[in-house]
Amino acid sequence: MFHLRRSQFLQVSNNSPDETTFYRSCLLREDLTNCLIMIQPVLYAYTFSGPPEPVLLDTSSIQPDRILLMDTFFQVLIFHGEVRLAQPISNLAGLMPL
Amino acid sequence: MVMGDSFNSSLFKQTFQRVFAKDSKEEHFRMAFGAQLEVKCSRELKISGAIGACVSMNRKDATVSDVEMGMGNTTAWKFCSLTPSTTTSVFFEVVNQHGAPIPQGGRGCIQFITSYQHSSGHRRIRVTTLARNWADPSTAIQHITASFDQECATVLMARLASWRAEHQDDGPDVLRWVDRMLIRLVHSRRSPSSLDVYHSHCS
Repeated sequence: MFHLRRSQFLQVSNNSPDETTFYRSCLLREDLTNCLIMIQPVLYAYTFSGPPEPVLLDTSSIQPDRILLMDTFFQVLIFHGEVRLAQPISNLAGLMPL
Repeated sequence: MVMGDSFNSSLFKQTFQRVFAKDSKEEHFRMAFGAQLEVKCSRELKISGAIGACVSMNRKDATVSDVEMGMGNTTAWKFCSLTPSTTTSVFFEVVNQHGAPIPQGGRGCIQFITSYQHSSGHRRIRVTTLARNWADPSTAIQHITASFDQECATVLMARLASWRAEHQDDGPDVLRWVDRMLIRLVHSRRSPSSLDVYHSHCS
C-alpha cells in the first residue's frame, strides 16, 4: 500500500493521460504475480560472492560491491555499484534468473 | 502490451510477434474473441460489480447488489478479447436474507459462465463453479485468517483504487480512501493487540 500510494497509478502528475491509462489498464488485466510486481517492484542484488538474492526496496540496499536490478514490470533498471569490474558485464548474464 | 516511442525498436517488433503466438499444437492463436462472462451466485451473496477489460451488459436480476464497486448493476460483462494472461476482478457483497443469520458450516456458491469464440471459429462455453464454507468472524476467525489470500486482496484493492481514481474521485480523495482502508484493515477491533494478530497471520 505504501508503494501503491506513490506509484504511477495514483500519482498521475508525472505522466501524460495516455501513459496513465496504459499503466492502469495493465494493472486491470495481468495475472497476480505481475500485478504484485507492479504494485511493489522487486529488487535483486547481484554480487560475486553468491547467487542473486532479493533485497529490501530501500536505499540501504545500495552498496558499492553490488549490482542492483529492479523489476517494475514496465521497466528493468540496473544500478551499478562503484567497484570497477575486472570482468566484462556479460559474464554475469549466466546468473540472471529467468 | 508495450508502450514505446517508435515502431522501429526491436522491443516493439518482438512484442508484436508475440501477439501472434500459437498454442502447443501450432494450430491456433492463443486468443479468444467476443467473450461474455456471466456470474451466478447463491442467495447469501450479491454481485457488486467487476473491474477489468470489459463493459457491462446491463443484465439485471435479483442477485445484483445496490452497493456498486467497479462496473455494477449487472450480472454479465462483455470482453472483446481474452488472452491466457487476462484476469478480471469480481466483487461480491454478503447479505443476510430477511435478517436470518447464515447457518454455520453452510456453503456459498459462485458460478462463472464464460462463452467465447475460439480462434478456430468455434463458439465455446466454459463453466466454473466454486463452493466455500461460511464462517462467523466472531467465533471462527482463525478459519478466515487461514484462508485469506493477502496477495489477491492487495491486487484487488489496487485495482479498486485505480478504478476510483479514473472514474469517480479526484486524486487526494482516492489517496485518503486508500489510507482509510488500510487503517481499517489493520486496526479492525480498535485495540493494539489486533495489530499483532495481523502481523502473525499475514507475515
